[in-house]
Amino acid sequence: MGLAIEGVGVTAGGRTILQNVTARIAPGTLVAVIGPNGAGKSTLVKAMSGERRPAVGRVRLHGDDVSALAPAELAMQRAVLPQATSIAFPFTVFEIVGLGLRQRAGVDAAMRRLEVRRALAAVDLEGFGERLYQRLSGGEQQRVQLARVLCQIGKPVADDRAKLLILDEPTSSLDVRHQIAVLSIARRFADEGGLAVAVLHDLNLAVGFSDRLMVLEGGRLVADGKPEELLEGPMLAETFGTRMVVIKPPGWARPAVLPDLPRLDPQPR
Amino acid sequence: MSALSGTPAMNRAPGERSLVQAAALALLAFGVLATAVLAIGTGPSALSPSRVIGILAAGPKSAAFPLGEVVIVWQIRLPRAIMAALIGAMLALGGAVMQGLFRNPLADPAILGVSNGAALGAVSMIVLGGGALAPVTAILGSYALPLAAFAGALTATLILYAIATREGLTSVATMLLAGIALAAFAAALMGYLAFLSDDTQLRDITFWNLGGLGGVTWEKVVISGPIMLVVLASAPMLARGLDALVLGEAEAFHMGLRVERLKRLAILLVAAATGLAVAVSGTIGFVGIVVPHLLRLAVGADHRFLLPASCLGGALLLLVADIGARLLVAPAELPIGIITAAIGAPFFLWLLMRRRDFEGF
Ligand SMILES: Nc1ncnc2c1ncn2[C@@H]1O[C@H](COP(=O)(O)OP(=O)(O)OP(=O)(O)O)[C@@H](O)[C@H]1O
Ligand SMILES: [Mg+2]
Repeated sequence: MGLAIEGVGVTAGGRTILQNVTARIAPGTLVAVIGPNGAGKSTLVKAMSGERRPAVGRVRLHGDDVSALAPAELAMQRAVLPQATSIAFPFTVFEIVGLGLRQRAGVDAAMRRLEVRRALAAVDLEGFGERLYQRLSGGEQQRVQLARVLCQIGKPVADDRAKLLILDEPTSSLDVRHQIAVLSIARRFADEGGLAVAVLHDLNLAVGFSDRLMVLEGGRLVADGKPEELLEGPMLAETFGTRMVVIKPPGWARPAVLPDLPRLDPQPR
Repeated sequence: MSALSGTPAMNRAPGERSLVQAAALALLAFGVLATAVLAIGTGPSALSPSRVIGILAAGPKSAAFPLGEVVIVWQIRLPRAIMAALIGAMLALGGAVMQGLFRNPLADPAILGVSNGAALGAVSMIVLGGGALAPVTAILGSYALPLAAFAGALTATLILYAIATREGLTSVATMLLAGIALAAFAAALMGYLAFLSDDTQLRDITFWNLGGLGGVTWEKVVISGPIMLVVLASAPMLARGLDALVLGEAEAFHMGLRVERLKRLAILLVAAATGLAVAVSGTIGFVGIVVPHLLRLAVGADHRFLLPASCLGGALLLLVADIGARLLVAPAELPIGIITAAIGAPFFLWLLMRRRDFEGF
């Protein structure tokens, strides 16, 4: 049960962009996928979501090969927040979020309103329903998309099967408070029995919220384990090619990571 | 939840536009019927709306009205009005679906060469139907022309889609440039065919290029009308898919859509709508871009609303244009394509000027 990534390799344009990735994710887990730009993080979550069929290996969700499932069936078990979404037509926020409910059977008008309102409240966008999506700020748009994804996925578990929530850089445009709010949603999704995968660039958010880190570099899974354990060695610093300081502020549950910044003192003339 | 009780109107969530949209649909439907009555009353012998309604209500064989008026209404102007409405619906629907497919409000069959592709198909049939394509004409009879137009439109749409869209992303610049090239190429081939044609054929070809409803008879309505109705009836199938596609191909897949199937259906529908319209009335521009765009701005972009509303809006616009075509130079008649271009082209320019409102691609 859960999500099984079995020897997955992906090629694009004649290049191997993901190679032999194997991992198992149990229900109730929030996994953070981290790694440098171009490491293959988006590619990996695309393989997990069934959007990209691997050249070798496969991904199974509760035993079913995700690239073999019908799109409609898959859509009831997993939802995806893409890295960026732009639209060319004047849709309201309510309409965009409501799109997430279209696949779910038996959602009547009253229920749709309730669910959309709940989802908008969850991403701190109450009262944004009638605004045009195109006129929102980047961070607001990102939260609208998250609300749509939450509408699509619904409860974390249905019929004893954990659902899969995939978030590709869900915090990239958000301010600090909303970064925390959004990852708290993913955390709660996992705590209630769901499977959550988030691609993150902020190591502190990754360490602070996830049960497990998957570290990608050059299309390979170079480390996979508990955040505290991975922070101990030089592995992260080597992967990102920058020195880091790990600190444990008193009273904090988890350590924090500080990258070593270049000295910016004024140069003597 | 107290906010969930109360009158249905109060229940409406902010940003939910279904009530406004239902009202808009009702208003458009009424507008189409009213304009149709006006269109039937317009012409060399003008008839008042109440007289038109009386004659229509009395039936085609009624003796309660002068025979001349009954014939004018039933045999000449009613089929013409029905055709104008159906063609307007086809043109606007083709535009709305094409814009959804390309995820871009500037995509339009007439601007991007799809109409020219259809016209090329039709012209080939006119010029070669007696010669090289004679076996086709023999088998298909009256359906040869609409089918040739459909084939031309389909080819143009497929080429355009293949060129402008890579891995689910459409480049606006490529789309517009490819459309211009396609239109020019089809026009060149039509010019060549015109060169080969005799005088009668040449007159027919000129008619395609300007667009007109002059020759509409019941026979044409009976041949094309039912197919047009099938196209109209199949449009709602696409609505949910096109809504999901607004967010992008990957997102549509994530939300459970069979994206490839959806795109194939959309391409077929654009080609069928454009081909059918062109086969009857020649190329009529700008309906496909003006109508959906105005509706989106005024009442919303949700395709479950936009597709039926575009059909009604297109019907309304073409009926109005047809009235104008017959009034402006009465007793002669302008090709209707001149009227829609005169309204549509400035509108299109205005649209381009305010494009900075939209997301760049
Ligand atoms: N369709 C494609 N064709 C060719 N190369 C691709 C394609 N998609 C991705 N790549 C390449 O594969 C590599 C991994 O891409 P991916 O988007 O998975 O990176 P990422 O880890 O998500 O990076 P980022 O942190 O910048 O989002 C990159 O070098 C990218 O250029
Ligand atoms: Mg990425």
